[in-house]
Amino acid sequence: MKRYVRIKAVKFFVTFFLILSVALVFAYQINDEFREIETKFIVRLTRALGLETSRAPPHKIFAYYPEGAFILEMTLSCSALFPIATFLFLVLLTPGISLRMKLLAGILTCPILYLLNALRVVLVFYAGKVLGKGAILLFHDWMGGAIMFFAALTSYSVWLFLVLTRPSEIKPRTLYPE
Amino acid sequence: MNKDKNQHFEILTRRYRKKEGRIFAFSILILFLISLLGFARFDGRNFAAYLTIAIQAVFIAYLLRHMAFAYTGLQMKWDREEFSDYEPPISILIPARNEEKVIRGLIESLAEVDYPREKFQVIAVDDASDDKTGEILDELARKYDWLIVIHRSKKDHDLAPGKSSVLNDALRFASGEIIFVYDADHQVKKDTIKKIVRHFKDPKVGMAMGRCVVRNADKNILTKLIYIEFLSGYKVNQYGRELLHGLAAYGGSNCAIRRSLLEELGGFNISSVTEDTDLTVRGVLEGYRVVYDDDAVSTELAVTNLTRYWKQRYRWAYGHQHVFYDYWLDVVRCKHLGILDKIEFLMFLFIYHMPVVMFLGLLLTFMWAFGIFLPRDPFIGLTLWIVLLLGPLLELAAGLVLAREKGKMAFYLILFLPLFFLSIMICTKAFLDGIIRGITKERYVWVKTEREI
Repeated sequence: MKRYVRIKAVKFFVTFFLILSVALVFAYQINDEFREIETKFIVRLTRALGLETSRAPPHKIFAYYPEGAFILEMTLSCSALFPIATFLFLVLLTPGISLRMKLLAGILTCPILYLLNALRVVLVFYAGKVLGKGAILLFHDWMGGAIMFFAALTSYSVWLFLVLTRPSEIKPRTLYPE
Repeated sequence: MNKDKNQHFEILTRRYRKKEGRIFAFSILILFLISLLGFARFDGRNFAAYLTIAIQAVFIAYLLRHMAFAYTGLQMKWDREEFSDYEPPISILIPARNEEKVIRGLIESLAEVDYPREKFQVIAVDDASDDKTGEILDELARKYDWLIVIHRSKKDHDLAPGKSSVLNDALRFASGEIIFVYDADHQVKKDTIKKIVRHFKDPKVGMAMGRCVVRNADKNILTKLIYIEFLSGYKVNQYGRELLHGLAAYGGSNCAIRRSLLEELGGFNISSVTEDTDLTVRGVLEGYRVVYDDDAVSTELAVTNLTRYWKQRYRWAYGHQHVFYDYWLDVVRCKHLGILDKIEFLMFLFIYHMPVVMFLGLLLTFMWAFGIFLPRDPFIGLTLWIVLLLGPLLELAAGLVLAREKGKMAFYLILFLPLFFLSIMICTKAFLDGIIRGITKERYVWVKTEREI
């Protein structure tokens, strides 16, 4: 009896690892380009909002304050890749839910998380302007990362809320032979 | 008389007495491995990085375990045999100390149970209660002839405290072939007993466990979180363990054990504060199966504030950690279990050490944050965070989906983050206390969970 379940589980895990490996290789390949695009986007956004910034390719942003310049490097912990990966990880690995709901979640939520993260970095620059350069250090990496992790979990909760309110999206369980 | 009784219990549990020395052996082994890892490179930065990788490896192993259970729970349905005609005599043991608020509810629910009365015996033990538990039980015993009430004196309670001692006392009056145990705050459904009993038709089954549901979930946020935790703990974790390994855990309430096995094992272990886990291991080591039945439901009360939560979880953590020290070597050597089952069983026994490992992970993360060490690859720190929290969250979400819960319950998942950190503190304290108590030989005494309706 255990054998039947184990075979099914092993098949699931082999598929999962193949997909995960491909996804990781893909993420590793696009990592630099993705962060470069993010850096460009954030510089444009901050300028549009009246902050004096400039970009040092590929991943650095200079912010100019009366007491001097601050250099922010768009590392992985700063990037939207982290919350997006967290969200997708949870959504894709929640079994028994229709593929439609999973794809919808990815298409709708990833851009939102991307924008939220960009907004978060812009707010860090504002915090620097209002509270001084020290505030950037506090808000930029660790606290910012925690906030985005929280944002990813909130997005997952919203998705789960939608799943639970639509029982038809939950697949029925396979009958297990005794 | 009391001295004799103590000797009797000591003899009963002589085979499985706590092996305090193993905690040191285990700690030394871990320290040795860590030191080896560090000295291999003579470099603090490398040492921290290797330690981080080692911790992540443990997290990933548990993540896979969580995923396996979530997958099994959500994808596989076990079509169980309907009620069998197997109806052996049963005895239900109820340890009760200061349970005046809840004891009547349990006995009244047992009165409604669908089981032949001539084969049904309930033994409630009033463990020197300071409230009206004893009086309520006496009153109920006059009403129901199947209810036997035992009153333990204060002296008995002081000499042999804890649930195991009370259950061993009750066991001497039990005549059933199958022994059930219920905590006083439980209330059973009409068909719960029958559903649990049916599994004992298979002689390989030594213990059977039903599902416990929190009935005061609406009381406050904490009880709601515990409600979700129970959903996941039973519908995903127990169910998955049962299907993948046939190794469910006997949980101490809403569960039953074959009397012959209990006698063979020497009764409930009085030196353990988690007699349920202790019994599970001993039963499995003897070659018996522990079965979980998702349909055999009883309801119980969750603790209503953080102080009680701390006390209850501290006892669970302390007891569970010590069961690991007591039996890990026996599990490794066990001839009844396959390699995969051994790995799963060791992971199950190690589970209350995971928050301690998480504590170590957090410590490394803070070291990284404050620049004490910088890993060569930033992925190391990031994945540590992801893996640390996502596995349990995935299992909790699977529980909600399986139970087809209301949508708004999904938002409570976020509140598990602070609860995880509380668990890290509780389990780390229990672990450190265990080491200190091992040195000072001080004994941890059972702490009773207070009830609030």
